[in-house]
This record gives sequence, structure tokens and C-alpha cells, in this order.
Amino acid sequence: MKLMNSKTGVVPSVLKKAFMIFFFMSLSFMLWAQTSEYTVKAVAFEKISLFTQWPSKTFENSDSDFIIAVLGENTFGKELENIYADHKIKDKKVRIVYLNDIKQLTNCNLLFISKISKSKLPKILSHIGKKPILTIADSEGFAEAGCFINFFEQEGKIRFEINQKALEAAGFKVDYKLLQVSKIVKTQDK
Amino acid sequence: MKLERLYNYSLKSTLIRLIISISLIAVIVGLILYISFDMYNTMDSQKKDALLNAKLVGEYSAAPMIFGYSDEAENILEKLVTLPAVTEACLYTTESDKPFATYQKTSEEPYTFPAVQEEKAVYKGRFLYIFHEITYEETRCGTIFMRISTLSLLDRLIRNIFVAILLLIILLIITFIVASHQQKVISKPILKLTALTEKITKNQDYSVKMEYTGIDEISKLYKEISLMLSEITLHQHERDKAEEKLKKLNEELETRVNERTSQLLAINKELESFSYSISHDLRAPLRAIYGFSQILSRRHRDSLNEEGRQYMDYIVESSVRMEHLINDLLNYSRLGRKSVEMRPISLQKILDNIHHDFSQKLKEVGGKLIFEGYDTEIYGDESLLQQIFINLVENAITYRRIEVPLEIKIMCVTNPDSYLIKVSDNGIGIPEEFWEKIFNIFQRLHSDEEYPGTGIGLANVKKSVDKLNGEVWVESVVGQGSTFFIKLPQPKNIFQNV
Repeated sequence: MKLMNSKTGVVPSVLKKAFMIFFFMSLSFMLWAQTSEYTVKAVAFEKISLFTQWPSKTFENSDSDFIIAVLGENTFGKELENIYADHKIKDKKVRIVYLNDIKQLTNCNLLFISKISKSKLPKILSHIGKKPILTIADSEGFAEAGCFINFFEQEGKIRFEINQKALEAAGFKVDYKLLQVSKIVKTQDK
Repeated sequence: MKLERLYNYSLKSTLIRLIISISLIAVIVGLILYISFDMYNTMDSQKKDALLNAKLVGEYSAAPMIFGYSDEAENILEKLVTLPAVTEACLYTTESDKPFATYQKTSEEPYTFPAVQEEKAVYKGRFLYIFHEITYEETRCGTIFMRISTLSLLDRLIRNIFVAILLLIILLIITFIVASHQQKVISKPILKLTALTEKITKNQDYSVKMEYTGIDEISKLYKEISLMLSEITLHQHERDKAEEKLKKLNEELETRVNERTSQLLAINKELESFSYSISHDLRAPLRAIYGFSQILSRRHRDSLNEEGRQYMDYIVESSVRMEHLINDLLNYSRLGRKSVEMRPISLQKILDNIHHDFSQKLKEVGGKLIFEGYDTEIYGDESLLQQIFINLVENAITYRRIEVPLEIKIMCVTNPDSYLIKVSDNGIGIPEEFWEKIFNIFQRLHSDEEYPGTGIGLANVKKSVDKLNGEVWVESVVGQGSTFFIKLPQPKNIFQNV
């Protein structure tokens, strides 16, 4: 009986172990997938900037850094710092700032709006106003809501949409090559 | 006539061939140069076009490559379908040397794309390979590769060659027509000149008019030849004149010689008849002197004293010698008058006579006569030959050496064109300086006391041989003997000489 018990006790422990292994593996995979996704997005900042021309006089002060501001939850971890430690954007050193609230925003060139409810967006956009800040988001419908660029996933690939009119209205110029690989959207009034 | 046409044909065809070959060589060289140049240019422009296309495609592919969107990149490459020469193309990102996006015009033969290479554009085999680096805003995005078929180049080459051949054929025809016409400019005057010179050589008429209007070398040739001809005519004229003069002179000379000869002959004849008549006329009184002096010496010898008898002997002796002399002289002059009767004669018969005539005398002096090859039949006058042998044998007997027995050898050798008769003795011999003189009349080497003689014997021999159209000469060694050679021509040679 005891033997029987012991036998029945062994099998669940093996299953438990296998489940544990599977759980950790999938967790690490999810973590890796998530990191990979944000790495791609982080790298995309530089790539998008390559094809985008900021309004004139933005980079008049040649000593200034290129400032990337991350508003909301930091989904990048240390990835942004890692990538931009030796990468320049627009031939400038890259500085990264993390904001909890839009009111903390003083000066930046690129604002990444991360995981924020859509209702907060108009407040953010109105705070930015006419400042030459390239706004990038990764939430559905944000581009239509007035954000210049918005990441989305399609067939397992990170792609992005551009609100070309809003971008150009803000004085940005965007290379057609960028438009060629992006989805162009229009601002939708509520 | 046939030959002349052949000449014409060859000169004309040579000129045509020359013109055609020169023009063809020039055209072929030109066409080859043109085709090579065209091919080079076409290849160059194909390269440039291909590079431009690569640049354009590259520019379009810049963003998809940067963002790593291979689908989009392939979509862009798909547009290369509008360039049918591009058979394969691919894009490489900066991260890997394996293709990032590929394009193949036909999927019939899967193409293994090469690993990324540096910027280049090269022709290899039937394809142009292009690697072009794609940059955006000084940022390297990757490399584009294109493989382009050169079939269009080959097509162009074939078309060019075809056109060239067509052109060559047309040019050949045109050149042939023009050359056939233009060659006349050169060949016509030359052919005319040939005909003229041929006519001159044939007719030996140098007064032909050479006319040609033109200012080239041929006209100069015409002028020179006509100058030469007039020169020749002049020289010919002068030569004719000189010849005529010479002829006249010759004729004059001949008549003069004839005159002299006839004069000389007349004188000679006169002289001969004079000597003959003298000898003949002297004979009768000499006979009287000889006859009476002998009778006197015989009948009245005793009535004379010793001195008278001696004088008497002198008279008899002298009259004997005188008779000899006169006989010889008469003989000699008879030879001159005698007509020659040439016919075949047996030498044996003559020599037998000689042997018979001299047998007594030879016995007296203890000599002998030897004949060799005397069974020959020779051609001549019997009495003249007789004279020759009599005189030679007499001569040999007279000039014999006392210390050795006399030996006279007569030999006859028949040569293809002559007979050679040799009469040799072992007598006293004749010094070389007299070998010719001895044949002259009255020429004597010794006094009458040493060797008696009249000095007419060998002159008789010479005269006889002359009458037979022969030659006589002597070879001798003093103290050993002499050999007389008589060369007489064979009948055919005689006729020739006559």
C-alpha cells in the first residue's frame, strides 16, 4: 500500500516538474518576445528619425542632445539606454528621460506614449501643442486620434502607421520611402 | 592576238582586283572598328543603365531594408519584370551576406545567389553581374545584386554583322562597277602603248607617231618613248648612211684589190713565162755546150795538158749542174701553169713508183725506204703528189748523215676531215729558225760543195701542196732528223673550200 502510495506519489511529482519547466520556459519566452518587440520598437525610433525631417530651427543648437521621452510605463527596461549608448540620432547624442505625467515634459524631440488610456491622449497632445515633438505610440487608434506615428503588429511583424497630414501640419517632413513601408491614416474627429 | 587579249585581261583584272581589294580592306577594317566601337559603347551604356536601374531599385528598397520588411523588398524587386534583361536580382542587408530578398524572372532553373560582394559591374560569360551598395542619407542600408542577360548584346552583334555583310556586298558591287570603269584610265593608255610598241617591233618602223593627251606619268612615258623612237630613227639614219659609205668603200677596195691582183697575176705570169722561156731557150745552147764539152773531153783529153783537162772537167761539171738547175726551174714553172686534176688515187701506186725510181740510188747510199699505212686511197692530183714525194725523198737522200744508214719513213694517217702524210728521215736536221724559210725558192742552208742542190726542191713541194689546197710544215731536231708533214683536205672539205 505504502508502495502503491509511493508509486502514485511519484507520478504527480514528475508531472509537476514538467509543468514547472514548461511554465518557466514559456515565461522566459514571453519575456524574450516582449523584450524583442520593444527592442525592435526602440531601434525603429532611429530608423523613423532617419526618414523624418524635424521642423526647421529644431536642431539649431548643435551642442544639444537628441532627447527621447518615454511617457507612462517603461516597457523598454534598459533597452533604450543599451541601444543608444553608442548610437546617434540625427548625428546627436541620445538622452532618454522617463515621465510619469505629461506636465513633467519640458523639452524633448521624440515622445513615446506607452500604454496610456486613449482618453488621456487629447490632454497630452494639447500639452505638446506646436512644439516640434515627434509623437510615437503603440496603442490601437492613437494615430487616428492625432498621434503622428503608431506601432501595430501585423502577421507577427512590428509595423507602424503614420498620420501624414498631422505630421506635415506640425511642420515635419517625411520621406516618401517611410510612407512606402507604413500605413497612412487620417485623423478621425469624434 | 590571243596572247594580247590575255595581257589585256591580266592588266585590267589586276587593276580591278587591286582597287577592289584595297577598298574591301578599308571597308572591312572600318566595319570591324565600327562594330567593335559600337559593341564597346553598347556594353558601356548597358552597364550604366544597369547601374542606374540598380540605384533606383536600391533607393526604393532602402526603407524596407532598413525596417527589415522583406515582403515589401520583394514586391519592389518584382517590378524588375519590366526589365526583361534582368534575370535575377537580390538584396542584402548590412547584417548578413545572404540574400534578404530575391527575384528571379523565371523559376525554371533555380539560381544560387552569390554571397554579397563589393561594388562592381562585370561581364562574365553571357551575363553582366552588378553589385551596388544602397545608402540612404549616408547610411548604408545594404547591397543590391543584379544578373543581366547579354543576349541583347549578342543580338545586336549579329544584327551589326549582318548589316556589315550586306553593306560589304553592296560596296563590292559598287566598287566593281566603278573599278571596271576607272581602271581604263590607267590600262587604256598602257594597252595602247603595248599595241604601238608591238607594231613597231613587228614592222621595224620607228617613225610611228605616239600621241597621248594627259599630264600624268603615262604621258611622260609616251613622250619619252616617242623621244627615244625619234632618237632611234636618227641613229638608224646615220647608221644607214655609214653603212652605205662603208659598202661603197668596200666595193672600191675590192675593185682596187682585183685590179692589183690581176696586175700581179699578169706580172707573175709574164715572169713565169719569162723564166720558162729563158730556161727553155737556155736549154738548147746548154745542150750544145754540154754535148760538145763532153765530146771534147772524151776525144781530145790527151791533147790537153793537166791544167786544160781540169778546166775541161769544170766545164762538164758546171754544165751538168746547169742542166739540173734548168730542169728544176722548168719543172717549177710548169707546176705553176699545170692544171690540177683532183681524183681519188691509190697512195700505194705512187709510193711503189717512188720506190722503183729511187731503188738504185738508195742502194748506192745504203739507205732504205719504209712505208706505213700506204694502202690508203687519197684524193689529189697524181703528178703533183709524185712531185711532192720525189722532192722530199731526194731531199732526205741529199741531207743524210754519213755516219748512220739512211732511213726514210713515209706514213699516212686518215683523219675525219683530212689526210696527214708524214715523211721523216734520220738526216742532219734543220735548225728551227729555218723551218719556214726552207720552203722558199733558192733558199739553201749549205754550200753547193757541202750538199749539192738547186734550192728548188722544197719550193716545188710547197707549190704542189698549195695547189692541192693543203698545208706543209716541218719539225726537226738538228743531228737527229726531220719530219715533213703534209695535210691534205678530205674531198668534202675541198668542195667547201672551192
